[in-house]
Amino acid sequence: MQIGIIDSGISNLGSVIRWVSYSGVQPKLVTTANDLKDTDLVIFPGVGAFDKCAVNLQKNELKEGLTEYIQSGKKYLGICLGFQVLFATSTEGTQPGMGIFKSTIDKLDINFPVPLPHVGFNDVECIGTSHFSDLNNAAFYFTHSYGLVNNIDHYSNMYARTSHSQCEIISMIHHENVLGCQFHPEKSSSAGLKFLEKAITWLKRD
Amino acid sequence: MVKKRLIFILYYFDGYFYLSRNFVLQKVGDVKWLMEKFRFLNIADYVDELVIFNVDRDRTTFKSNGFFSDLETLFNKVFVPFSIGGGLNNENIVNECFRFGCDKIVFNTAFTDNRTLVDYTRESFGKQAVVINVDYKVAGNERLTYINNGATPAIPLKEMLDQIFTYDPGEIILNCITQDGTGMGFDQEVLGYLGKPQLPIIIAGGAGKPEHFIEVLSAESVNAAATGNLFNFLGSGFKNVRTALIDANLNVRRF
Repeated sequence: MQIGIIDSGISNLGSVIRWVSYSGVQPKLVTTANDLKDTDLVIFPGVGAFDKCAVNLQKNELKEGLTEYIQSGKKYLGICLGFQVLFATSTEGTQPGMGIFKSTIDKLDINFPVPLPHVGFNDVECIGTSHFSDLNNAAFYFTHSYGLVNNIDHYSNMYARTSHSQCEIISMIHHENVLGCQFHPEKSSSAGLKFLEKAITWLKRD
Repeated sequence: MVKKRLIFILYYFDGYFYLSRNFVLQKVGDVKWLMEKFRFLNIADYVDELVIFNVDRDRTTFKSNGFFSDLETLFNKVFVPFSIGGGLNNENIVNECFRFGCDKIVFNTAFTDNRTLVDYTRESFGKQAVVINVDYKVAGNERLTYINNGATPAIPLKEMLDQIFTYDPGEIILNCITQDGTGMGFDQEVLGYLGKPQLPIIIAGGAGKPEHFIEVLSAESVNAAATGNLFNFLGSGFKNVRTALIDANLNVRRF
């Protein structure tokens, strides 16, 4: 069972490596499309600006490789930018994301004023049925100014909502083999370790 | 709504952690001491976030020998957000900090004299990755900011805040040198400088007991309260603060 972590050059790579290793599974780094072979769960962490992430994805055929990987049904976990880059576009930048989902990532205050960035622990409310549904009402760590606030996609398993002032953010999605979260489970203390445990058991299924 | 945060500050240099009182540093112990005597792994259950300040007074180079390996010892088993600050003065060290896994860089003097580096950090890692720390002293009704580790007086606090709000970083730490390490409470009156919440504000300097945290975190404009007082919060110190905040019905993470 191989977990791969994408090294896009701008992520908090060290944290994600330590977090995954805590489960007892040693992850490997993924920098090219070729590294995706023999990977059973790929984790895409991301800190920073959407465009930088999208541009780095275009190197080493990683974007094509990841798209193919996801379409083949293999498991993917996107964290923060790694979640946002699943979508078509972001108003933070001009580069396209992977387009696995059609929605656009927007600034959180697009519909009403909210203090930015959204930083700190906040609760997730899970809607739907999924292996991850028992994360309902757990508090995870968020740090972002852009997110999924005008959602047009359908997620076959589950999504989660989080409120920041009047803004309702889609904080997590689970759609078949794709899991994405706006928050940082690798920084979310015991809730994050529960998330990790669920991700490992998800990986071991089918 | 996002929850208010309890932040623990660690002052570090060359293998040791320090206590700060009015900006005078006292060496306390190494990482082994922090793990064993201070039972660091338990602390992390009760704090929301950590800040590691490098307190090397020589600002010409950032001495990273041992810094990252000591942090590795802490963060192998503790999964909370952490920021790094203290004399970071080039892009390479900023990149290294993020690759290591830090979430934010805290800039203090650099906001005044190395703005290019702050810009670089914001452009490469996003606005939420930049925290501006303001050190200031209280003199009567005035509050004056200081740079270079409290050595050089700078502009009045009001002016500094205006500049920072215009710059629009991720967060601001307001650190009162006068109260620092005294355990006598935070500088409550500084809240009058803040107005309506524009940016997340972290108040620091002077925490001694749970009541101090309840006082500042009850203010709408304050998002987090920070302490670096290792001795005041030994043992079940942080657990007591957390319990008091929950009992006071503040919106904080529960355990």
